[in-house]
Amino acid sequence: MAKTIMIVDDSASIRQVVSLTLTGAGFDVISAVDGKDALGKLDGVKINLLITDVNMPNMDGITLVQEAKKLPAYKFTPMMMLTTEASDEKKQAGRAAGAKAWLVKPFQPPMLLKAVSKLMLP
Amino acid sequence: MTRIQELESRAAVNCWHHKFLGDFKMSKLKIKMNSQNIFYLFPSVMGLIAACLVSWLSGASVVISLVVAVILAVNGVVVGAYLFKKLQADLASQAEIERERSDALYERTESYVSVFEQLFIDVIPVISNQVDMSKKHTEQEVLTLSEKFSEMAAQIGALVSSQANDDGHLIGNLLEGTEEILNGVVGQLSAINEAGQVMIEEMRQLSSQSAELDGMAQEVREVAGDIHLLSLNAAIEAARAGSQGSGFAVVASEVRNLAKTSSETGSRISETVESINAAMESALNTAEITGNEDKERIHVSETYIAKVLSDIESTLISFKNNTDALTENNAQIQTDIYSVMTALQFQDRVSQMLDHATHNLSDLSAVAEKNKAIRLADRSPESIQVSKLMEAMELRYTMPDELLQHKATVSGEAVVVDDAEIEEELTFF
Repeated sequence: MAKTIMIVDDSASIRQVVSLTLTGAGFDVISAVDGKDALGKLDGVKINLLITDVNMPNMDGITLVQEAKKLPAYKFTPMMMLTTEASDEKKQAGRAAGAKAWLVKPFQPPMLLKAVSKLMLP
Repeated sequence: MTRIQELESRAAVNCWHHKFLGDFKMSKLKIKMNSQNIFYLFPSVMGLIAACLVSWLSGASVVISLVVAVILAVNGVVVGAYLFKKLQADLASQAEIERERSDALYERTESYVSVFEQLFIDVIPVISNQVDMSKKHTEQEVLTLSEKFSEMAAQIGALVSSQANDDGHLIGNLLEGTEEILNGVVGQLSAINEAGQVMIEEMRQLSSQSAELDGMAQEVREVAGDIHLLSLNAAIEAARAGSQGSGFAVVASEVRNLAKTSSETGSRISETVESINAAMESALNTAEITGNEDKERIHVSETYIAKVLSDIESTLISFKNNTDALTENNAQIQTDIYSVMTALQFQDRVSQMLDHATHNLSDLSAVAEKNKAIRLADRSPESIQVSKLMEAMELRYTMPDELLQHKATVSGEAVVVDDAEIEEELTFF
């Protein structure tokens, strides 16, 4: 069965590019437009990885990771940030929230796939 | 000195200027009070001192000296008062002119600033809206572009897999052809086998005929034994009878019969031998024909096998070429797809930058709006807080190049991109 990845980004074009990259590599993809939308769509749905932007309306990515990690179903789900932010402070905030990787946009698809495959190792 | 510092110091100078104009009347009054005393006192005191000195030096009486001193003092006071009045009148008229000029300047400045502020307040929302609109347009365009692109990528994928299917057909055809040919070979081989069976049958017949020949030889040997005994008996009888050889005739007759039988046996043997020869010949012929046919069949089989091998070889070569081309194309397409996908993300960056620009503009607009309510004379540079505004802008930035650009603009230096300072693209925690 194909593994499922959730992508959370307020930019439609980023969602599309990520989704194209991941479906091309054989993954199933669920999209959400911000943190709140993502939490609503999670609701017990089995996912193998969460990829989220940082700066989004309604709920930012770091809060989303914190909130998702509180849910028992997603406590051990690997999560990574995909953002234009590149400062060390922000990265540390992401790490503290529970993210396992940080990829700076614009990203190259092979780089994303590399991160995904490394994070989804059993 | 940075641009901000420059602006702040300019604002401070302007403010001082405004205060100066406002306080002008008060300062003038102070000058008047102080100068009047000096004007009155200074010449009088000087006159008194001078008179006393002159009287004392000329040796005149103290009374005369005092009178002269008093006259001179009064004169000094009168001259001082006159000079002061004249100077005051000049000053007053000049001050009036200055005041009128500065009032006019102030009014002009105030009206200019208020118009400028209004322009600011009116124009910023228009620019913001345009920025928003262009952001939406770009987003829509990029979305359409990436949708088209994703369709294109899917089509390429389908094309590649259909080519792979074509290869599958090729292999299928090849295998079917090979099977057919191999069946042909098997058919040929079984025909050879059948021919062998015929040969074996012939040989079996031959061996049964040989057994018959053997039997006949035995018969001949027995007959020969009989002849031997008979001739022995005849010899004995002939010896005993001596001249009475009448029985000899009987022996002779038996020997004749025997000879007849022998001759018949002989001819039967020769017949059998002949038939054996014929059978042998037929067997040889069959063998020869079979051999020829075998040769022919083997030759045909060889041709078939050669054809199958060359077919497989050419198919494999073409398959390999196709695969190579396909792999090469695939790799190229993949690289192209990846670079387009990276490029398409510009929209996200542009969109964020425009967002920040819109926020920065609306901050400026808010400052202008707030200041508009305050009279120009009552404003202070603190009400603008340039540094705070610039800091708020800096905090808003999310991309390193945005910040870099901002800092470079503020310091008036060129943008320097230091590769060593660019953060790692991918970080694992």
